[in-house]
Formats: sequence, C-alpha cells, structure tokens
Amino acid sequence: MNIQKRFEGDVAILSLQGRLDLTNASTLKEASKDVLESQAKKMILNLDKVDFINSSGLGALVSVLKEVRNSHGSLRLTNLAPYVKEIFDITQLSNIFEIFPDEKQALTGF
Amino acid sequence: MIREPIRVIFPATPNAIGLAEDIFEAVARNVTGDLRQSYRIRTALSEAYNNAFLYGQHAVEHPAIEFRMCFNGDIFSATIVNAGHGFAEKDIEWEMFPEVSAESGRGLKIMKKYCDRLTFKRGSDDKFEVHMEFEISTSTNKI
Repeated sequence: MNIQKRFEGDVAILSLQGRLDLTNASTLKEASKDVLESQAKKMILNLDKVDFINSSGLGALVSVLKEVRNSHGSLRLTNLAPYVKEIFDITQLSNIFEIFPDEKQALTGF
Repeated sequence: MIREPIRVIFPATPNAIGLAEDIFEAVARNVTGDLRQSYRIRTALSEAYNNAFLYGQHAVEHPAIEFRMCFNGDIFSATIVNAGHGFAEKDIEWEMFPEVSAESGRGLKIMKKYCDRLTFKRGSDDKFEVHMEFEISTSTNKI
C-alpha cells in the first residue's frame, strides 16, 4: 500500500493506494499515528485508489478512527468506490464513519 | 473450465499472504466477467484465508492453509482448510456481530453476504473447512 500525505490548511489528507488488508493494515496505522503526532487534529482518508479492502482493512480504519477520537480529533473518509461502500454498509461501518463523496465536500466546514 | 479440482497449499506465513491474495484476485477475475461478482468472490476468499491465517495455525508444527477450487460453468466452489479451530461455533450459529467499533470480527458477516452457499465442517482429521459456492451467470463466466 502506498500512502501520500499532504495538508490543506490544518487538515491532513492521506491518499491511500492499493490493497487495504492484513498485510498493510499496520502501514495505515503508522501513517495516521505520524499525523496525530504532528498535532494535526483533522484527518481525511481518500480511498479513491484503494482497489481492495477486507475485514482486516476495515479493522485498521476503525483503529485509526479510535486513535483520532482519543486525540480529540476528527476523521472523514472520501471517494469510496461502490464495492468498498458496499462492505461498509454490510458491516454497518457507514454508521460510525463520516463519509463524503470527495475531498472538496469533506473539507467544507471541517 | 476447471472441471477437476485445483488444490494449492500455502505456508501459513505472513510472506505468503500477498501471494494468496494475488491468486484470489486472478481466480475471481477469470471466473466471471461481472466485476461486482468478481470482487465479492475475491473478498470472500480473502476473508476465509484471513481467518485461517489468524486463528487456525497454533496447534501444528508446520502450519499450512489449503485452497481448493472447482468451476463447472455454473457454480464456482472454493474451500479453505486449516488445522485450527476456525470460526467460533456460536458466531456461525447465531450470526454474532461485533460491536460496531470493534477492530475485528466482520469477516464472517461479509462471507455470509457474498457467498450463495457457505458451509463449515470439522473433518475427521480435525481440520476445519470453510466451503463457499457462487452461482455464476453463463453470460458472464469467462473460463
């Protein structure tokens, strides 16, 4: 998994590329940990280029969400492909994540 | 068509996970031209393998995960076998679902949603089998 990080104002945007599964769940956790250690409180995960996700990947996202909330921050997800969104719906994670169609809408009012 | 079953044995090591995922992706892509179904098959295979890797390998000296598949043109069937305890029986029977904020426990729910038939069996050799079947439309199958 490749993760590109950039900032829009005080919002950290991580663009994920590749599989999000058991083999690279820790990569995502480390990247988000780095963001939180840089004192950024607002984070967007852009999943546009995530071509596969399974329950281990979902677990990593839940872990990141917990870490962000423990740091009194906020996390938003954007650009979920239909098959990724379907898994969020099946597992009811759509109810606990803030999900936006794209970065522009996620940044609005963040 | 894969009339005869194909059998692959993976060592249950972290390094083999990527290879297994590559194979699942290729198999799913070639079984059906329906991208949505292909993704569902790939995901179900991945979940079964994940479970075998995470929970099934503690009791044997050289842990391995067996993957068997067969396609007759209408039904694609796949079996993942490991030597461990597999999914918890209470989860299978009652469709237990984790707290929404839990970091694990969603694989079974996904598999039940994506497989047309899903069965579990404890073999006489104490190996645990997860058997999955997917109905493939003849207009979309590619093998």
